[in-house]
Amino acid sequence: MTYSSAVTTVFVIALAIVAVDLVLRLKFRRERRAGYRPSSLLRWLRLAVNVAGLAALVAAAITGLSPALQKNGEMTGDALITHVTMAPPFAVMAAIVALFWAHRNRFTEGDWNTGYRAAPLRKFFFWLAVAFAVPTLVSILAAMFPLADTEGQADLVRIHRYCGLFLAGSGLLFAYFALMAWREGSED
Amino acid sequence: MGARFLMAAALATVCLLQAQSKSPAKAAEEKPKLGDNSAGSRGQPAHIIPLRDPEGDTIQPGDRHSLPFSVSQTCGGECHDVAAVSRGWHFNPMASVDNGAGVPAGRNGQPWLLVDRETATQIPLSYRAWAGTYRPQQVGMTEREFAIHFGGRTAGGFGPEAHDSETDRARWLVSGTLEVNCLVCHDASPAYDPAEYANQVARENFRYAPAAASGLALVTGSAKQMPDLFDYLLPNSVEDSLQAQIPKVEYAPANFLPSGKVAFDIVRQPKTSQCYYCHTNTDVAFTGAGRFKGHEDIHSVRGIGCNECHRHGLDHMVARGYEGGASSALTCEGCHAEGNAMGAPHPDHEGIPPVHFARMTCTACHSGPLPEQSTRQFKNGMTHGLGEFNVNKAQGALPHLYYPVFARNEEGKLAPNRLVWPAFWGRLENGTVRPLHPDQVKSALAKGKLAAPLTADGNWLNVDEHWVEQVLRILDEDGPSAYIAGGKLHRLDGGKLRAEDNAQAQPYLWPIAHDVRPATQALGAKGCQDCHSTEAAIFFGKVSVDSPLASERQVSWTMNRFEKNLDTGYQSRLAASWRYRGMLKAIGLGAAAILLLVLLAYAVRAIDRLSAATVGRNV
Repeated sequence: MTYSSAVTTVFVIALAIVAVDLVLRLKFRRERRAGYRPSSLLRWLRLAVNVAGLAALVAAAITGLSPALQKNGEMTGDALITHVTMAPPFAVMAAIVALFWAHRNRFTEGDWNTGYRAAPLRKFFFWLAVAFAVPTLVSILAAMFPLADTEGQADLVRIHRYCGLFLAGSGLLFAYFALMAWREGSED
Repeated sequence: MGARFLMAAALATVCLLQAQSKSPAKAAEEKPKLGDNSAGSRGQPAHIIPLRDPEGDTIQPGDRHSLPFSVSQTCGGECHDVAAVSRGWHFNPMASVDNGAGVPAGRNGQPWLLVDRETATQIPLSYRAWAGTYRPQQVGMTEREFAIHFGGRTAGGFGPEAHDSETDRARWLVSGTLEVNCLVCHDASPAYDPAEYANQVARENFRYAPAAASGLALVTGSAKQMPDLFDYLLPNSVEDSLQAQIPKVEYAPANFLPSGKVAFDIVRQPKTSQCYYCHTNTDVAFTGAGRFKGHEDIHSVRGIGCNECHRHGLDHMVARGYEGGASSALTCEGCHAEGNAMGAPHPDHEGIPPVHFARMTCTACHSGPLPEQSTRQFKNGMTHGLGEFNVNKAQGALPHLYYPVFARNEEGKLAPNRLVWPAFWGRLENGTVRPLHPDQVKSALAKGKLAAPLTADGNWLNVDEHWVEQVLRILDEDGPSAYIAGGKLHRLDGGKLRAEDNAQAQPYLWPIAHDVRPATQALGAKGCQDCHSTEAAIFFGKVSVDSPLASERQVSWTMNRFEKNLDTGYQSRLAASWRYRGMLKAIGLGAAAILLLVLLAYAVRAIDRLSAATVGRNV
């Protein structure tokens, strides 16, 4: 499987998950619950983090994956510079988003016995995204140090590309389910 | 029935006779000669052999009228297939173009440089089809003239050609052929003197040159001085005034063994110093008093001789060692691949992104001098006659050769090159410039009384645009003419000198293979910014422009002009971004650490909860 077809596959699967969720949401429609309301300042801070985090993810994903779709993963020239420029804001926002969301995304007993809700899926994709974010960052940073030989360098870049792809998919699904959970009034 | 039987019998008889007559000849043809059929011994066979003259007769120390020994007869008589050897790289340039023998030109290589100081000419020549070089015939140079001019720096292989003029045919008989000279490479005797070989070639003593160089004989006289009807077998038949110039050979009896044979110190694998006689490339800064500053190729330093990589069989098609060439096992990659048969170290290239290996040759980082803000000048054994008698040792002596120049090769990879700027006069014909022989230009200089005094150091003449204009005015009388120099074509346009860009004015480049630098001295050993900086010489260095015209020497070309399709804007932006690389690493590692801690913290809690659940507790 080529990298460009892997990119397509991941996003088709992500869209399929969203489509299935929308169908299930129509079937198991439920009332919006009154959830936890944090203070105004914290609410605005959370919103800022969420918006900035999503923007950074989208920017990193677009700059990283669009050359892949065009040239099957060969990223050079200005596309590479653009992607690398997006990397530090993304890394910072990834860490902040993880800190802001980790506690709320603990799995609880309620996740399994309250019917079909967005929160459990949000939690799942959050932890999946965090799990992929670590090798995505570490692999490409390791490639910047004289650690791996030529084949190792190629492997590190491959790890970065595939983990980055899964990070983009799971990150966007996390964002989607976070939005759905917010609509449901779920804050836990 | 009877007729058919007779016909069949006759046919069978004819076939049998043909088979009988062909088989022994074919067998003899295929049977390797004594010295070409190795028994496998790694020892060096003794070469105690009789000397044979061009007629194949044995030379004895007491001969009254000695003849020079012939290498092809002495080496090739019974022991070696000289005809097979003579198809090798060192002897086959003319086969590549003239004879249609199909010898591939291979990648660009060191050209011959026809230098004529009086006419400010420096033109790259080659019999091989290397773009940017001219075949000697295109300059009006015959094979014989080529042999006289450059033969002293070759291993021979020049003789009469079918299209030779009457004069050339006569002169070949006087001088003899410049036959394949095995001794140039294989005679390791300290008495062998390649400078004497070149000296004899310059005197047109072609058939005497190997004997003179071998140290076995003293050769006097000069075939150049002999008349067209001179017969070397009847040497005294020339007029009295030329008697002293008759080529003569005198053998030292002490060199003959009691058996009448001679012991040659022949080596199967030539010593590196023998290769260096012709194949020396040395920075001008390392000549003269600066000699001690010079560097060696790392392979030589480690005791690896040229022939370890540049191997060949009887055909002498020496492996040239470049990627895409005939011998892929004897390239940089071939020898240094993981698990290679040569035991060469396999480089890990830690931290170097693989894209570098796709876009750059090994030599880009490892060969030649490290690129500097301006190109350096070097001299070459073949073009500067290094090691010959009375060689001009001045740093400015022509031809002027420059390196390292980074350019894309045929595979699109960036590679270091050597460079020469062509400078020659020519006729403008159908949009191209046909080079003129320097003698034709000299006639024009004489006609216009334009001969300029030669410089003492062998450098360019001190001439200017006005001189070029005057010379062109005279040359234009016989047709539109041009002068190529400094990367420009100069011609008269409405009586005024005009300089313009022209493909034929482009410099000729050929790749650098040696000297190879080890990893610690490679480009990039000091870090990525060896190349990824806004002033990196590999992209933004200056390539000196060479020309007899001082005004043109003030200009320089930027390196990236040779690096086709190079996005210089991108290289500049990439280089500018490098200063933030440390920050990128720090932020990335910090973020990764936080993410990992978050992951671990909640993973530990999850494990704790799972463990508590096994005993019915909630945490």
